Amino acid sequence: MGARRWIDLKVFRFQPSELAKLFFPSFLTYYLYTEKDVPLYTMDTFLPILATMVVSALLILKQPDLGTAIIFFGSALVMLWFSGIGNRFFRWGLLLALLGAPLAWKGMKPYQQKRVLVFLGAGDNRKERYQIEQSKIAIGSGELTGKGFTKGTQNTLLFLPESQTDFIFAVLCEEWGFAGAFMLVMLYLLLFARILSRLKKVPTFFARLLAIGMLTAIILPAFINIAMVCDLLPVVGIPLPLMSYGLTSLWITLASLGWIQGITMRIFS
Amino acid sequence: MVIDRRYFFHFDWISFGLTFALACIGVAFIYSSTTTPDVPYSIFFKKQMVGLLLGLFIYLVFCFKDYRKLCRFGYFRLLCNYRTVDIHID
Repeated sequence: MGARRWIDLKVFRFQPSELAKLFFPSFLTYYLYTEKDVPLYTMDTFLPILATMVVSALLILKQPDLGTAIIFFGSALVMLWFSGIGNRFFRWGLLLALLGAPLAWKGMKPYQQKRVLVFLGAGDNRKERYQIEQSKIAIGSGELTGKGFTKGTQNTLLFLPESQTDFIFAVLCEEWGFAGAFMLVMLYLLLFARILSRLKKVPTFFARLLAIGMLTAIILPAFINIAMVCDLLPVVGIPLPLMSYGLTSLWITLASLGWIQGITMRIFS
Repeated sequence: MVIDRRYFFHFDWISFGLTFALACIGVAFIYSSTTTPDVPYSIFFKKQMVGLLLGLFIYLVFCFKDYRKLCRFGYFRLLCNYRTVDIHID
């Protein structure tokens, strides 16, 4: 589909846009930190940040990588809300997004438009809807306890494409069933709840802001991936953090979690 | 890099354990989804295994490095990253 998301480093392929998930929270935090000592800002303070957000999102979309752009934009918005940008910004932003939706639709690649249409129910089960239908079959056929580890037929018989990357959750559902899927979701929720509870004790606003930005960039893809595999959201090519195959995504997620651990570990300092 | 001894007392083993457990489940299911009778250990599985070990090292580096220094580095690095993405697209 002409996507240029990776740089081939022979041993593995590196995805530079993933780095934005690490560096944009740093950029926003450090920028606000150098602007003022207290988190009270006017709209003018946020203009360079908004410009950086738009440039980043456009560059990532140009690759094209809609999934990363969504995660990047979503976590940037959460950080802006957390840093105290006025509700007026969100109201105007929503209005602009609604007005600009037809333009955004025209700007999307044909395969991206097709994915949205498939989500809305269009397409043939053996062509456009093939992947998502196979995913739903895998999830449903797992029943309560699953078929057993490595016993899933949807992926061993190659019915489910991209089973090791974006659709790994469907493989887990088929082999470990509802019980396994429930356990996995609980593990994610426990991890996020644990981190958030420790972040509440961090006294420095800027450290919390930085951690919130990086944590959102992990929570959002986890939620979107699981919803996408269950056909509750359009397929946008977002891997499941820590689970899906992909070295750049794994390293960036672990770096973010390590960074957050570093922040919460220094509570006493 | 000097590591303050007190950091070890505040290290959150629960979130580290949960992270490691999720990553291990991931590797297990990458094995499950790519194994075949001819090639039981696929290249995806092997790469992810090595990647996870390297990832744990990255986790610890980011954990023990001062987050303020990393934040300052990230601020300037973002602009270089744009250039990398831009050159890559062009």
